[in-house]
Amino acid sequence: MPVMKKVFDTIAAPLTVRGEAAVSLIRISGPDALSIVAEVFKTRSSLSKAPARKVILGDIVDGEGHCLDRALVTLFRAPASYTGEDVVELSLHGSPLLTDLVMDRLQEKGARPAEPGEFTQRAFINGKLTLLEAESVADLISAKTPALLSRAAANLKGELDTKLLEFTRRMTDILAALNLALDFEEEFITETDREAVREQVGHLQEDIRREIRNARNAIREKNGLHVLILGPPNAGKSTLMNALLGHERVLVSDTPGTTRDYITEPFFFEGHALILIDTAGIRGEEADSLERLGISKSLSLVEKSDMIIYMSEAGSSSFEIPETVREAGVPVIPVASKWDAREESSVPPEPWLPLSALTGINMEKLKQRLSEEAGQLTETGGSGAVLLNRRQLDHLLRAGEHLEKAQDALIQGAYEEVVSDFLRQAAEELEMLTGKRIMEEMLNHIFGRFCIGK
Amino acid sequence: MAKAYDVIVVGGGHAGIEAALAASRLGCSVLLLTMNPDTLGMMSCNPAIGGLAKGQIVREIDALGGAMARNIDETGIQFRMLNTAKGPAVQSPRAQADKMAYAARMRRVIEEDSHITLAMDTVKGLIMEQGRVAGVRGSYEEFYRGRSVVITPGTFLRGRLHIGDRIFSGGRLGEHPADGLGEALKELGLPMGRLKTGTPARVDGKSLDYSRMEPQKGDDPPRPFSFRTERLSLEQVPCFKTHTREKTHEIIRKNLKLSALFSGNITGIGPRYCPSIEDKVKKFPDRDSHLIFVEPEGRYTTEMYLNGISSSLPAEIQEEFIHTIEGLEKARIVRYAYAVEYDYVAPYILRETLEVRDIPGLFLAGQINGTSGYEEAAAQGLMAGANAALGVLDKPPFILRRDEAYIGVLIDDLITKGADEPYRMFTSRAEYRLLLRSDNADRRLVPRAAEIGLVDKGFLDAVKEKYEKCETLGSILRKESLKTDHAEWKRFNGRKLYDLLKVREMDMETLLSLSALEGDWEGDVLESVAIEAKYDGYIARALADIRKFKKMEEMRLPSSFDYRGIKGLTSEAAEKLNRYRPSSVGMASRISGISPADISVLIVYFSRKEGP
Repeated sequence: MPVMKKVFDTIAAPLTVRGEAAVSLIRISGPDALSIVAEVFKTRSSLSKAPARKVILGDIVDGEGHCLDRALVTLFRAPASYTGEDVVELSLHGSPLLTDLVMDRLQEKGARPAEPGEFTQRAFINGKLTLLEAESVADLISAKTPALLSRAAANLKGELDTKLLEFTRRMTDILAALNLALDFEEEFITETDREAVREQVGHLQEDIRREIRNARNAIREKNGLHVLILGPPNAGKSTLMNALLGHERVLVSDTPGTTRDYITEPFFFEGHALILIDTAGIRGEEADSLERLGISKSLSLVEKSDMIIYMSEAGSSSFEIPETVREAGVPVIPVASKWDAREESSVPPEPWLPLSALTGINMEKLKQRLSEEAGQLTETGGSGAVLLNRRQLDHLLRAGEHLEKAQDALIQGAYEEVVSDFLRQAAEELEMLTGKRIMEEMLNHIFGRFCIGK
Repeated sequence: MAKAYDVIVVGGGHAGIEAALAASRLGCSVLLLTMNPDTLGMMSCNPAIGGLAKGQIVREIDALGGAMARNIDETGIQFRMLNTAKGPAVQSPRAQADKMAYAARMRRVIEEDSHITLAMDTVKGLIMEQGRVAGVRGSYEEFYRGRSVVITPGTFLRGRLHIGDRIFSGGRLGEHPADGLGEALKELGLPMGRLKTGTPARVDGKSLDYSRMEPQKGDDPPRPFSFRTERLSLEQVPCFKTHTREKTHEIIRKNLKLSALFSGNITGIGPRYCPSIEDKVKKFPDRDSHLIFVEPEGRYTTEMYLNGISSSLPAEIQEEFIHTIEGLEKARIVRYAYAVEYDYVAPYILRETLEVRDIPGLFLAGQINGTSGYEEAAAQGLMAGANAALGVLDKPPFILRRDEAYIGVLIDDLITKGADEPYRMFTSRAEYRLLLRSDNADRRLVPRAAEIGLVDKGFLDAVKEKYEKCETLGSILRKESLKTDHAEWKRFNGRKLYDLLKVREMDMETLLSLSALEGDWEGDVLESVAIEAKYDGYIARALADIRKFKKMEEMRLPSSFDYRGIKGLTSEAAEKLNRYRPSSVGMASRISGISPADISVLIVYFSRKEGP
């Protein structure tokens, strides 16, 4: 486990993005944080005796003792710091060169550059953050929409822990009821009320299913909604893409088959993070081999998309959506394009939306449709905590599967100890989800996905 | 100079007996010291062996060559399988014992063992030499030299008995306590506490009105505990069920403050799962009745045991409330109920072998480790005795994991979770209870026991043969399909016979009658195949689960290491780890108060190539 190896030494990294700015912030965390900083930061009284959580003014000095910058330092003493270790934060002026020089000095004195996510990892290991809170830090930083930001903030405050703890408690209660009958045949209860157990398991299943759906939608939103623009060649797909983006991103021509590869472009509107994908037009025999490659790529994108805009020229003889697109299992918005060139009488049949990307006719309508569909696809039920990553979702999915097996076992009249075994496994999945139970392999990749910390 | 023994066992209860016998089976010379040879193998409380989860333990003891199962087979007077409405994994055998016969036969087993020397003495202290135990000091003889010592004092360690406000020194009513040993252990610096347990009144059977109680008979035919008992032939004796009434509870409630439990005389914590009647009345105010089993103390005595109403109320109050119970209106009390408070040693100081970590050669087993129950005690005795012997013989220790045996669960729980109250086994304590069944204890443990010499080759061969037959029968059932005209079952025609066994209503007997299978199969083979079939699939999953579990168990931690040197650990965690000294990351994760974050630190720290 490369990331985890050097976990107990002192680490340092700039917290702000590299570039000229007003301020550059460097964090140093670990047992030697104070003594290392004392070597490069000179202040009137000794740094080791300085009060915690107070801003101290002083000079950053180079190896010869020459001043490099006037800087501010804030101390945090273990365990009252972000990482739970001694932490020093240096506020320098935002010069990239200065930042590099200071980082070099810190390394000379024994600090190691922090790996991505290492501060938060230490916060988790030192018990400052739960696993879910630690994971939410990355979600908060990378949130692209206000909705995601507020979810991540709720998770950071421990609301997801609370919610999942409640699930665990309910599972434990059911397990206790089942096992009471198994372990105390004579004194208290002789028969389990299987009907009551089924009902409780059922409610739990419902709640977990809802949580799974919310998580799926939230993760979809996090990854960006992939909106595929599909259709025959020369249907005006690239024109539409440019019109939506508001600038000429894609080369447009009248020659069918101009777009041979697909082109993706992020598109933010009305609080949604979309990823527009312009594709090569789908046609049969007349395509050359390079174009054909593009076509097959377009079709392979269908199964990975979240939504499809299917375009056909308003004047085309048939308004039909290909089967592969119809059955992709994602919402399809059929658009009849280049409507400006047509007579008014040639209004396409429902549900085709007549549109002209060039003149802007019905562009607002299309955007409204996009917004509605996006809203539904990312609906996460009210506010508050929600699962935000694949690791979390995988555990919850498995917990759901075990619950389903428990329910099936109950229905089929299986033994209580078998039902109990399934419930125990469901509870264990929740424990792994919340980090109450740590498996070695889990640790390896959880913090690997962080890309913050420098 | 006195003779030096390989192993000295102090105490002749259920733990001490199995300890002495196990050490003897491994070829060690054993001195068994008891305060009174007449009380060897005595059942201080209920006249029964086995019960839920405990029955599985007895089977495991038998598979490890222990004496308990065979002894109850020989001296039991009623045999029942419990939980038969539930699946086979949670069914447990239980038997009523003839207490006198049980103890008498056990004494003969000990006396006939050529490696065991039985002697009467009250141990006052330990002899220490160069940091390890070298023997014990007696009251009658000054020195007994031994290379290792197993201490199994039961409730005798500074035992105090309570009946109302009367306090007697003793381990059992009418017997002396072991005060000197208790003090000696304290002086050695072992962390000690007080626990409490209780026993109900015994009444004269002649004074009871059985017509007002519901008789409870044994199973027909009775099933033996031991894998080595062919069949049982005995005339079974019934027990009787009755119950307390509102009037009973009223009397108890009115006199609660006179109970030693509530007067402040008892500070030790009692067993939550085996509460006194005072506790039950107080904790379950809504219940107007509690069940009582009236159980014979033996075949040749009229004394009856009132299971379910242990108490430490004054004698006259006991009399008063017992007389309100259906059928006991005129009961004459032979022995009053009492509570007993005794010293125990916090078991986190033990290794998995039950050896005190910091005192080589000293082993503890039974109630001194905070457990309750004859079965839990006997299991620890066996493991302590075997490991004491293996230590003397300079052989590797014998340790059972949680996925191998209830005994593994028991010991792991004791050393990782400690015992804040008397610890009793439950099936739900075992993560792998579908595998840890009473029917397959022989398969699980006989090969392990044979490997170190705890059981002989004959037993191992018999077990191998049994399970080879199971394989054969299983493969036949997997091949053959059902073809029957039987009205109820013909809807299953064409299904494999093995799969049919998974139908809850289907049993082996019915299956055999429906099919034309050749061969004469023993009952235990048929049973074993049927159970494996019923749990088919679930067992495979449990095994997969175990592989995950083992991974954490196999991440070993050093036995002597200062955890304060690991920077990522909180000081509380480091202190706990220094105290418990878990042998693996898996074990560390089960210690209460060790957080997942602490476990992460351990994994990270100890998986570094450069090592600690």
